[in-house]
Amino acid sequence: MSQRGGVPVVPSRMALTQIKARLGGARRGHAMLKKKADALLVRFRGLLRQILELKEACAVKLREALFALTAAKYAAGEDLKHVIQESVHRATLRVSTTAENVAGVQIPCFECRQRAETPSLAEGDTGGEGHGRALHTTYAGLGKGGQQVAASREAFRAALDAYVRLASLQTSFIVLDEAIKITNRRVNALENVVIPRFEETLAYIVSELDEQEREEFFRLKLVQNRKKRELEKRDAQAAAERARRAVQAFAAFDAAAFGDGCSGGSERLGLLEQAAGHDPELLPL
Amino acid sequence: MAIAAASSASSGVSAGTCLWFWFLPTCLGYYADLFHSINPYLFAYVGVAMAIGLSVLGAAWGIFITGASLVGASVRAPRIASKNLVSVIFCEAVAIYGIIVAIVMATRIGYQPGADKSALAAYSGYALFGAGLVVGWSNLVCGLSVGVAGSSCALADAQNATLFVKILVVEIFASALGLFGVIAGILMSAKADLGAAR
Amino acid sequence: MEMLTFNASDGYLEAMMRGLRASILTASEYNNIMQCETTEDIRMTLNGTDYAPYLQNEPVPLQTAALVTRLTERIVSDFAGIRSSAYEPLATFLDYLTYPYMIDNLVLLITGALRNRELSDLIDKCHPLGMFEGMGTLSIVATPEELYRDVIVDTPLASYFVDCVSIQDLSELNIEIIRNLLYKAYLEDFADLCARRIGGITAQVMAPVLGFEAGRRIVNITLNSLGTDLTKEQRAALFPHVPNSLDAEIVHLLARADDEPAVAVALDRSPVFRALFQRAADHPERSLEDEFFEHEVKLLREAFDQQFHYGVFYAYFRLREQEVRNLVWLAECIAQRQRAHLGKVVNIFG
Repeated sequence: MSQRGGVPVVPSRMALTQIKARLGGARRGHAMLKKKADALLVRFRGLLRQILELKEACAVKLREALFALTAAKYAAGEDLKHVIQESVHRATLRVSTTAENVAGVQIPCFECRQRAETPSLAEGDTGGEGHGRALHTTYAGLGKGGQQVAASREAFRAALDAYVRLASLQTSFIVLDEAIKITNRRVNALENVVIPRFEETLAYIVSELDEQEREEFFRLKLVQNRKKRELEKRDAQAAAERARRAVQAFAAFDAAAFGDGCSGGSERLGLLEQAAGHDPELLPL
Repeated sequence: MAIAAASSASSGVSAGTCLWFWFLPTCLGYYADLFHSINPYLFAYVGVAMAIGLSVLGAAWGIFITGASLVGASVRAPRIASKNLVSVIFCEAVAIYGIIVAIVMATRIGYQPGADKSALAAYSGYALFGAGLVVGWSNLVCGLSVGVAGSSCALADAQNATLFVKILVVEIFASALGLFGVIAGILMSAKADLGAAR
Repeated sequence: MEMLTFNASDGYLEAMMRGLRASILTASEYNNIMQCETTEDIRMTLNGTDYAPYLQNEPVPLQTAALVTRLTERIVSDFAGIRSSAYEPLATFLDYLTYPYMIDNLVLLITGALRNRELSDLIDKCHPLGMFEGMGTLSIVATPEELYRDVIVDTPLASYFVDCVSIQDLSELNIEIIRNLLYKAYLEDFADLCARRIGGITAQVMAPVLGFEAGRRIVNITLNSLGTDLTKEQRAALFPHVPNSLDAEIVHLLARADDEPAVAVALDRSPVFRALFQRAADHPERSLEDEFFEHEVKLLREAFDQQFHYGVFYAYFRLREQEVRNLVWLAECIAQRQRAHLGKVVNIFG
């Protein structure tokens, strides 16, 4: 009696209930994980679509921004780049991270924040104490091209914003991807390994138990048969005894007949052998 | 405009004017004598000198105005160089006018003992002097005019070759101005005779 | 009288300038460039022009940044050629043409000094036309004070600094304000040079050009300072006062303007600026700056209508600058595939 892939277990009623409970647990876990995987997948698909859209939007925005820079350079002179590079000393945009919970998965979420700063007349450093006014942090292009510079700044800010959102989505994408993979692996493991194993074990235990039951039944039958036969034999003997006695009673008291009646013991063993037939296992009974 | 110019001129010259009137009553006769006492030969040769000198001055000035522009413009457009030599030649022509008239005038002058005392001598002296003035000044101005026009012609030709002929016409008209002076000068000196004929 | 005397010292250079002006790209050449698909095509097109020797050694594909450098190089070589054979007062006049670049360079250096940057690194970023003699000693300068004391006082701009910017202002004023103060002083000085020290036809020709330049700066400063911390007094202090510019009354109104409608109302009194403002408002794809450029080119083009004056030198270099802007714009448009904006260039000579 082999139990192929199943859990090593003694086939017993107790084990059966145990395995049944474990199978139930596995099924429930499977269903829940499946649901989680589905939820993540829905989210994932949405994310994918969003990323696709945002990537296109990013490309467009960046193109716009670069073009606005070209326009600013056209208006304010080619050395605008150096002027801006040299006059910037602190980033006005910061990226902050918050975590979002999707079906138990922590997803980092980036957000672009404007650091409030007023244009300080003294370049030294009074920036940062912000009065909520965020625009025009420098006077770049005051003499010429100021509007183009401002337009360019806005365009780049929009592009940066889009990129931060894209980064946020991309990170969520990777995290979700990983989470979905793990969940799917678990689901598959439950579906293809654990549950079949339990089921097999269960089948094994059930079949073993059935087998035992059938054996018991057969044995009972056998015993019953034998008992019945013994009873019949005894009845027959008793009847024969009664008949013989009757004959004895009716006939003359016969020594030979009396002798026949004493040899009944050896006849009985032969009968037993007949009843057991070909099954040697029953013999000791 | 005219009033302003007059007032500024009068204020500038007023001192001189007073001086003039102070001298005028007594000296007037002497001034006439001054001119009479100058030898007609002087007038005649000053006239010749003016004719040739001012003409050459005008021609030279015109050539340098034209020439500077011509050289500069032909740096980028070498094709204009030979065409625009016409402008230089026009300026040169001004000097030629001068020398022609000077020669004509010089042939009117010759040495004769006592020739400078006649009334004809006085006439001839003034006539040659006047002719020299006319020719000299007209050629000077003509030379300048041709020079400026020639300079513009070179620049215009460098920009656009079709303009050359059009500006050349302008230049020809400018050049004709000198010719007027030459004609007048020859006419004026035609009657003069300072001892050359005898 | 300039007709008679001008050519003695400057006739050759003026004629050369006009020769160079003939090589300024025309509308048909711009049209050819607009048909280009790549920057390489632009190079091919430019190979038919004066720019050919400047672009032939550039690696493929042609970068717009390299294009800027090469085109600027061309202007600089033109300028050096002219400047080396100029007599006074043309030499002074030509020097004045480099002062705006010098102002930009100095402002860049001051910014660098305030940020404690290595100044010798910044020299590469300076405009080549604005180089001055003290550039070599920059490596020993560390602080803005040293820069002021050792370098700036030796530049031709020293007088502007003395008049407008003190040594404290260097670290306290916004660098853009310093730049505009210097530019104002420069513009006024330049206008004075043209009108009084040179005079004549030059003064006649330069007056409208410089007047427009000053007016444009006034309008720009007003528009760009709206909504910033710049006070009205500070704003008014940046306005250059040049004859033939905006009327004093308009300048006064602009100095007190609070918003764009107020600016529009003030400019309504100036026929030129009103027309420009109106056109910019009528064409949403064109900015006021574009209109200014266009009008400036028109004025500069008119400078070539007269002979025997220095205005052609100014006009030539400004037009070349506009040409570089145009070419860079076209190259950028083509490189960035923004063909819809190609029409923004200002045709210099039709």
